[in-house]
Amino acid sequence: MTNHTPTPRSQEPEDIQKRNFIKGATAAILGFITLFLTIPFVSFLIPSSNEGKNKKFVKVPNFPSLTIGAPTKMTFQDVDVQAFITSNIVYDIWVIKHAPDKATVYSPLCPHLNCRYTFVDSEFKCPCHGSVFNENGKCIGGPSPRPLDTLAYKIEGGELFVQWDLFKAGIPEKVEV
Amino acid sequence: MKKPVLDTVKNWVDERTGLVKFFTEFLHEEIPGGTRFSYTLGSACMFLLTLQIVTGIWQLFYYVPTIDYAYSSLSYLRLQVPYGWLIHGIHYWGGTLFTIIVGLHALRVFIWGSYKKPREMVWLIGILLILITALFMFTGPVLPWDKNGYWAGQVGIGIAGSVPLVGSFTQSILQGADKMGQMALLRMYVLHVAILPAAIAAFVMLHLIAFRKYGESGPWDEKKRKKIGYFWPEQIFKDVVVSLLIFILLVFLSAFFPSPFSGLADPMDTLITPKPAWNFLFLYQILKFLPGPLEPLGTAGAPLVIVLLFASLPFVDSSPEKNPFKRGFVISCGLAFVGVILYLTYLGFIYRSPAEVSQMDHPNQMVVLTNKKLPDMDLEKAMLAANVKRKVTGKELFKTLGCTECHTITGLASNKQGPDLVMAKGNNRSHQWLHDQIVDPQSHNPRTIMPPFSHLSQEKVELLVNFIESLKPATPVVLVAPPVVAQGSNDNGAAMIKYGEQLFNAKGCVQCHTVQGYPSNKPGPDLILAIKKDMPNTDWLKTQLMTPQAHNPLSIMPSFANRLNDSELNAVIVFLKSLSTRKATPMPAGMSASTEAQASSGVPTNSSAVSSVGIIGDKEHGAILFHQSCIMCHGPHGNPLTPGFNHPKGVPSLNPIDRNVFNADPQTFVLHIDQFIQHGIPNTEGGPNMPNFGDSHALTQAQIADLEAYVLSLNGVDRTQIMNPGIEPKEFFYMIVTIFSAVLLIAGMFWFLMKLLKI
Repeated sequence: MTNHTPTPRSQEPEDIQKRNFIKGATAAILGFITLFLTIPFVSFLIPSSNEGKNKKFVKVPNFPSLTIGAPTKMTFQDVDVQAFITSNIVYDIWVIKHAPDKATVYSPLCPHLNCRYTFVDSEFKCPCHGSVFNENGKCIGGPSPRPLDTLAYKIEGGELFVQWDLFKAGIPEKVEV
Repeated sequence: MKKPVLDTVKNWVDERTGLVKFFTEFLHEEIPGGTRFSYTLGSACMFLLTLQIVTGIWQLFYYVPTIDYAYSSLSYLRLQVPYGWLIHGIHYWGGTLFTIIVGLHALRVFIWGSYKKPREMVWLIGILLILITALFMFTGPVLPWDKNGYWAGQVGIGIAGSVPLVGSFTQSILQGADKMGQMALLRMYVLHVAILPAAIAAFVMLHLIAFRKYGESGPWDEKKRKKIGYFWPEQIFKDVVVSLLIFILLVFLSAFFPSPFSGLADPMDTLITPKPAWNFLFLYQILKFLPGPLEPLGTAGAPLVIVLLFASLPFVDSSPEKNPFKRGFVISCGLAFVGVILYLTYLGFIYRSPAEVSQMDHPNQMVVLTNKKLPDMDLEKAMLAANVKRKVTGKELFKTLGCTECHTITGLASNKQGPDLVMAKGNNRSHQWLHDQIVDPQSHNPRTIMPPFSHLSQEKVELLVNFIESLKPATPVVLVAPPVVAQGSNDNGAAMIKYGEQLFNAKGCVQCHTVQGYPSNKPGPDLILAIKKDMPNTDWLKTQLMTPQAHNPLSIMPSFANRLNDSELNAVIVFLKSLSTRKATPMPAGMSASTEAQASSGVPTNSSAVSSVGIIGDKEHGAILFHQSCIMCHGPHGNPLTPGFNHPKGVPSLNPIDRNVFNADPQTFVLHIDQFIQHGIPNTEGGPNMPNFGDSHALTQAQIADLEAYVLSLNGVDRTQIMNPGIEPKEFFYMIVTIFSAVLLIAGMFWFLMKLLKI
């Protein structure tokens, strides 16, 4: 950069000590600023907890006319509020109606890696990695570590209300995300 | 002992990249005359630039560049995201500080004569960097899409557009559409977050490389240059100390002086004085001195001259002399230039448009309303300073004082609560009567719902009266002669009905009643509906016309005993009775069935999708709107019990507000009051109805949000309250200062001990 030869620095012990002190102080100040910027910058990115906010039962249309015993893919719509945007989201679920006031409701996501499975030849089959479940949700083939995830529901006046939920994929326990 | 592993890695990297050598040379730069705090301005710019880049990128995690979501996404970032207030605050104040420090940096280089040969290129690149900074400060404030930003962008693009030859081209490129809107916002956004950062990074690099070729120019005194200082660690230490002070200052400003929430951008707004960002105020002010054909001199000429002056400086002032005391002419020109820019900026800062000044009618009252000092208390003085010497007309007063909220001047019956003033000419009121009606309406009718305008100066009342007297009746009121009827006969024929209807229109009944068959906003009932429903007899109608309070002591209807003679009274009654068989006129398409349902059920319908609840309003703006549209019923500060205020019946207090409506959470509170402002609510006690300001578009959603923020503030709730701060702003600042002081204290004691023990 500079063209002339660098002037050699004083090597007096006192000067070296002074230089080292200044170096240390500089590092300390920079560390101080960095620390007090890092805490806010990381916190800024941590999403606020949504716990308990979306725990509500939403009506699933057409339940009364559903055939008893046949696993059926059903959909319902709910309002989703994320930060400053409110949008309508359509959810899908698998429903087996046992009686007008009794049903099983499965999350449409395979517990293995959250692919959407289908119902073929009286079995739930996942197209991604070949997990197979029977109508009771039990895993009878493939890599899925646990049975199909059921969703909480209630039936009032013949109508079905479901509480949507997501569970951690790939582990033997059913744990909410 | 050296650390051999570290050295091996160092050597390995250096053999392949030369980086270690590069940084060693970079750090060991020699500084003639020794290190100084005055040399830290460049590094301070670098520190601020780094902060701007990081906080800018971080805000992109939440910001959405659309006109629908820009304001609400930034509001969310600032109020709901942990430390959003800090990251936004650092960026907001960092930009301002960057501009100031860049200016000081240039000023120091100018005074020290450091731009002289061989450092001309460093100076020229520096000018380019100042221009890029200016573009940053032009595009940035538009992004929140709030009132201030919207108008700053509008004015800025307008200035660019008025440049001769290239102006309309530049404007269309910047605006991207025929008016300020989504395209303009996106273009400002792309410039601000992509193009300008790339440009500033590239030119900062060139600035540094060119600077390092010859390094610091040092003191002008040769003797002082003998002493040699070093960049690392001595100068860097000073740079870092300054950076720390800047950091603490930024946290302080973010915590104690957050950027204002000026409300959602609203093109319909006339209250605000459109101004560019503060950095451009000098230019804006120059334009005011150059009207009409001279304008291009300001828009294109002034910036061009300034840039050329700057650029030619090293070549004009080419003598090697650096001592500022021996460069008297150049230095005094430069300082004069700085002074003029600062003065113009000051003038631009205090300027208020005549419209804004007249909106505020009575500065002292405004101060009371907002419970806070306005930026410039003395508006009259501000007007003088800005060379605004103009007279307010009666017409302007009529429009800005809120008269239009209840009165029209179209000559047609309206659905407003007060009479149309052109129609009212038929009453032939005297000058004094009109004067009294404005200052003390109750002196004429103790039950009137018109608020007294006793706070107006004599002069202004006079202007208003003159204006009202100057109104010309649209169609002269011609009273037909009564039809010839045989004495004693009780003719209810068509001629009598027609005469009665003419009297009904001419004698002022239409000012409060409609004859349409569906409800209106007027204080009196629609008479087709009322007469069909109750089928009153002649005596009842006669009593109602002569002494309305006989039927309802709370009635606000005036007596017509002195306005109708017996035959006229008879004709009006005949007309009224004929309404029992009259068909309703078709309801205009714009009036929905909900208006009817609302009027009958007394509950505001909640069907409308429009809402202002997601918008953070500006309470000071809201105070002005309140003064215009709400004060006549709700009273000053929303407190109907204010002494001297004639409280209309059935109008609820807003200060304090009903406890069922109140909520300490601003979001919920706003949700509660929003429906009343949007859809209105009928008055059950005979006073004026709450108009449907939202449904009728009498107020925009942005204005409603402002009003809501003001009503919240009256009840001690801050609309801009930070819901999720991480650590509370002020506490965060105190914490930083405390921890740093503690560290400093411990280090100091340690240092002192070392000295004492001579270690």
